[in-house]
Amino acid sequence: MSKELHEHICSESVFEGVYNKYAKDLHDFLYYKYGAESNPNDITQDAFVKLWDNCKNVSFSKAKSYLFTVANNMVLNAIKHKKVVLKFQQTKPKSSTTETPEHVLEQKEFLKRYQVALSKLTEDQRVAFLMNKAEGKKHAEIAEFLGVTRKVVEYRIYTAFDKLKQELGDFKLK
Amino acid sequence: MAVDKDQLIEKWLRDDLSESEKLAFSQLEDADFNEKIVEAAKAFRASNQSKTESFQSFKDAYAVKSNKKTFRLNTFLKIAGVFVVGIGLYLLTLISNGDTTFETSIAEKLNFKLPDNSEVALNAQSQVTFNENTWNDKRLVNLIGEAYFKVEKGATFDVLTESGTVTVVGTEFNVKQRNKMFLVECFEGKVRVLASGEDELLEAGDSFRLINGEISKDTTVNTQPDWTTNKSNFERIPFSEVIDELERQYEIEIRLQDVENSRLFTGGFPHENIESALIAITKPMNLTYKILETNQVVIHGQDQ
Repeated sequence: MSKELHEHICSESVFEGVYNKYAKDLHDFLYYKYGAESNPNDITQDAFVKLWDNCKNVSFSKAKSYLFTVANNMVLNAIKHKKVVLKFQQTKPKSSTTETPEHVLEQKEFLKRYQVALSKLTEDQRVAFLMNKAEGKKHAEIAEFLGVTRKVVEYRIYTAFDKLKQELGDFKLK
Repeated sequence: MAVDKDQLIEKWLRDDLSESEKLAFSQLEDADFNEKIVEAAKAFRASNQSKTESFQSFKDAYAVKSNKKTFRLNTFLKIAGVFVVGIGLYLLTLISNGDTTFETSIAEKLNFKLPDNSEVALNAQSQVTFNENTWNDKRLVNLIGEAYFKVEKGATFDVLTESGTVTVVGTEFNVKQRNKMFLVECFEGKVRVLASGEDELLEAGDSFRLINGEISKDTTVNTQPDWTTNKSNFERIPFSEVIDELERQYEIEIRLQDVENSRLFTGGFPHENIESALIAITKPMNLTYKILETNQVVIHGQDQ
């Protein structure tokens, strides 16, 4: 028997640590993968409820994969797969910039097309790409978090970028 | 070039370019476009749309859920407990009912503070009630009408209206609940809105509208509600609501003749000058008005 079996997570302070460590990542992962429609916030909460109910059976080191499996299954049970359309937030131009209305409009048009392009990526591509480029996570972090090698993450990001570039190709001329 | 284009992009995507490669990358014909694509990803950040709860609110939610689960085990005890607590609370309210109410009538505005020093500005014909005695356990504010809340950092409470609940987290926001209209605008920090089954988190610059059962989310560029500077502004609001607001700001009675009052109005009126207020709301709608004696105003459709 390994020592691991004893380090369960039932104490509140340990559990709080697990929560703070994984809640946001789990939420973001669900969001990028399945979109806001899947209620990433509720699913995250429910996954942690389940984890706490089973805290005696789940060791600290298994907590992450437990959470991801549980959350993933919940989503798959809850939603029929449809296209994931992520909302965007246009950054407000600073009051002092010389941005023309045309430029603001063009940027909005670009983001709309970007939105469509994102929905055409595979789930894996979208998760890896946005975790890196929207969330600013390092490749190694994402790899650890998804349980795949860094090479795989890099490949997903690269292919995602490539596909986005193709989809958005006609904006290059502007 | 030593490295080919695809390899450069690959390396750039993992932040792995050497100085000379950086130069080569910046000289690619579509370098700007590459940057643009990666930059735009930030607009899709999850936290713009959806966020996780803090551990504290997780714990609260957990407490509720696990209570439900164990309910069957000792239902009798629980029910007995509820009665005891209920009777206790009832007695408590009999002894001391610390309700504080602030009320405004037509054409009146009022500023006051909540027990936690949060500032409230109350628009005309509105009412705010809270309980000072139980404030520390139950931070509830009942609102009828429209109010602007400037909340102390770190303070939290719920604003209850007929149409929905707004949960506050150290912030500035305006709540308007009149007839079938529920409007929340967030100017600073965050607020959470629970209404007709929806749960929305508003950030600064967001607004939430529920009009005749229809929900829409929008943005506002204001830093405080217009009415605090003696103007009323509307965006796609049914004309009848605009008229109601006008009646709240001036002691007048308005009759509509041949006016379709569900038409949507965008625009505003000032609170100090009845004539210009009337022009401001009738002109854009192609209507005319007549001021009769005894504070009566008639607004006509143009055709008649």
